[in-house]
Amino acid sequence: MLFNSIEFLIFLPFFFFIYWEFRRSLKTQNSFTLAASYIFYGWWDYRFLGLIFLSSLCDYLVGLGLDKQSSKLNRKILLFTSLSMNLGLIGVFKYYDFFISELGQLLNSFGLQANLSTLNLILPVGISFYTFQTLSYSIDVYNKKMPTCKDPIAFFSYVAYFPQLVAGPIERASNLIPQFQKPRKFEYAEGVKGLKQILWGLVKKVVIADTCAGHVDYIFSNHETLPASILILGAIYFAFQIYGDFSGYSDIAIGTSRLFGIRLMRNFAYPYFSRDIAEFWRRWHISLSTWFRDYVYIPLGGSRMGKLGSLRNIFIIFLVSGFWHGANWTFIAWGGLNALFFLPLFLLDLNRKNTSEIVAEGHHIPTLKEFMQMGITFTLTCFAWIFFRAESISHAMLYIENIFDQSILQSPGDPNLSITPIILLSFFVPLEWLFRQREVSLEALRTPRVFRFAFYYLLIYLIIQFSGDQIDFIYFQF
Amino acid sequence: MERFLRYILWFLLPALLLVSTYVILDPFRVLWPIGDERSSYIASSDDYYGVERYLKNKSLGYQYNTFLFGNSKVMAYQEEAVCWGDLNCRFYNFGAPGESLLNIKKKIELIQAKGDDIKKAYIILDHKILMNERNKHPNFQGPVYEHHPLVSDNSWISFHAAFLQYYLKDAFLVSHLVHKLGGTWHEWMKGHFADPNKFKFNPYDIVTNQVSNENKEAFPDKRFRSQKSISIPELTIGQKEKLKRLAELIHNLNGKVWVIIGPTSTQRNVSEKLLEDLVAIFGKDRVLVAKNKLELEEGLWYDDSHYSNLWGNIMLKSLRRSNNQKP
Repeated sequence: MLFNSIEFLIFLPFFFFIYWEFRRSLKTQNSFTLAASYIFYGWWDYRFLGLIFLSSLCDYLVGLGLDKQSSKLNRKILLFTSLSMNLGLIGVFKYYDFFISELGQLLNSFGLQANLSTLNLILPVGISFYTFQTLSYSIDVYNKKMPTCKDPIAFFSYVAYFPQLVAGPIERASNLIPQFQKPRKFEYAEGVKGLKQILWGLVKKVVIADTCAGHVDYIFSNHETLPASILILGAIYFAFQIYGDFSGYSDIAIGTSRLFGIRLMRNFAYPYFSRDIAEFWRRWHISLSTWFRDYVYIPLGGSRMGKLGSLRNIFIIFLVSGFWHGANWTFIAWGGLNALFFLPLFLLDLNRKNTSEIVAEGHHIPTLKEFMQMGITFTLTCFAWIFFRAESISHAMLYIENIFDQSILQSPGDPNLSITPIILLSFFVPLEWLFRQREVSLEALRTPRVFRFAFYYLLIYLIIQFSGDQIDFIYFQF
Repeated sequence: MERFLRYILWFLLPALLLVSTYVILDPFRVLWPIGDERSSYIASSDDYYGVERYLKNKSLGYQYNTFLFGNSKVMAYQEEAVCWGDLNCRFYNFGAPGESLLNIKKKIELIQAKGDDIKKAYIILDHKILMNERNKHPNFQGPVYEHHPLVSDNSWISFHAAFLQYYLKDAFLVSHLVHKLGGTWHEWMKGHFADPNKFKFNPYDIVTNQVSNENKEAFPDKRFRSQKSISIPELTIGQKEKLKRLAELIHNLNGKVWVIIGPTSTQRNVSEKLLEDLVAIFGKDRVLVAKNKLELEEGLWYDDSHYSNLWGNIMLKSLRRSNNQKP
């Protein structure tokens, strides 16, 4: 079920009322949440519900085992079981075909004829998200950072919780499980915030991302015949497509969850207003970045390994993070490029410079220096996005080559492209700038209710106007 | 919670009012049971009407045994030419704009489920049907091309959501309400619906669902323009499989199926390979091809891509005669 579908529009209020009807019995409320989450996921393909169940069962049992075991070896075996189960699932469904075809090509290049067959499996939606979520539980229990969850319903609900099941945020067990273990209370302010977040998320997805999507598809498919000016536009459009798509999804997920009294972690914090790449990565897909930080970077030694060891760790997490997005060299190249952009900041000890405050805090406009910093960061990001969007490395290289080969001053006019995305972005970017100090964007509006409602209605009108065929969220494929 | 619900209610009140106007006015005539009129000055889903008409007629006890399938091109062919002297022929026109092979398959399954025999079936095939995969082709967007949920992969929810969206989108709502309240049609409403005072209905038969298109004034803006001819491409593996499935379904009902290829104004070239493939699927005498009929006088066209009934009926009889079929 897609958040931008009519089915979800019916499902949400239905779920909301019954969920709060069960507020007196936590067990019933959690059981209902679990059932509804399975329906939500099964709407896409019920056959893959077995995988979620299997992953949940494995980690639930591992958690119980870790609670009883004091022997180090046995605890390690249990953790290994969880790791192999979850990573095995991703490995088979997401990476098996990739490795097999790459191995086949490698052997062929040595003149060896290998008869390796691929499985051509469908990638289950959200597998990278929920397996990482369950993994975090097993690792935290193993490290005694959180107690074992003995309530199976609470645990299974934590894994399958529908707002964030298929595209995150990748929640930590230590944040979400305790919320399923205690009674929830509906709060008016949270409910209103949730609705505002859902509305702005839909605007990002339906109005911004989906409008850019058609143009991006056209530009990336016809890059060989288009002038450089359009190719640059293509990269910028993709930057907003993926931001609108993914941060829009996160907004809807977090907003929806607020309606049920459950707080999910923030996933995006206006990343395109970052002053350097390090800040960008603290503001983009926060739940994944912090996951890799806590479960890969720090266990590898983090920054305590000296400059060289730390550099190795940085490259590892950027490459793994790239590969997490998909079984294609383009994602690895995207991760590698970001590591390269990060490198000078790290070597000059500037990577922790912009850690807390948002750019131009308390001011309406940035200083020239801040403006330049944001411009450079955005340009680097767009450059890396070309690899992310391209079908292959050679496609990305050709695209970049065409940007520099042809006249950049040539008019970007093309009968197949409209000016609509530019008009939309010229409103969207200033609005995001105004909202940038708020976690819930529309909370920044401090006008009388009548104007606020008029603005919300305008947004709803735009959503209806721009909605056509429901386009899948990009991050569903990861 | 009560305060929150009040907040939502107040906020949604204008939206609920707008939706209630849609439910009451039902401009696309997809909410309330269908009447006997088919055409309306507001374009809507012919497919919805065709399927609802069929179901209604079935509930009234009608039995059918001869069916015509295809997209809007089927409007040219009528009972007279399809039945052609067969006194036992009970004909129903099951064509609809923007039809795909999937829709045709589902219609045959619906006919089967409703207990009708398919003695004879005619599939009017052209490149548009073949390329229209699951009704998602960008050329087939809009209310006219929405398909009945029973004969498509549309759910009832998404079907009605689509029409509600058409109502709320592109200022249709404003035009419709201004027109309803003021009673006058303005030129700026042209993009949304025709002038009801000038709109002429295409007479249609409630038993056969066939449309008489001799009335040239029905769509005064549509006129004949010659177009470039396009070859029908060879069949893909997927298309072959779907066509085989259609043939099997009809054969399982002991019916005979004929495939008729165009022509339309935009196509007349039929490759030998395509013919071979169709013959392999449907049988030697079951593929009727009307070639090179483009050079017709304007009077024989309904508009720039559809034949008039007069020419459709002449052509169908002529094709069947050349195929040694007798009245």
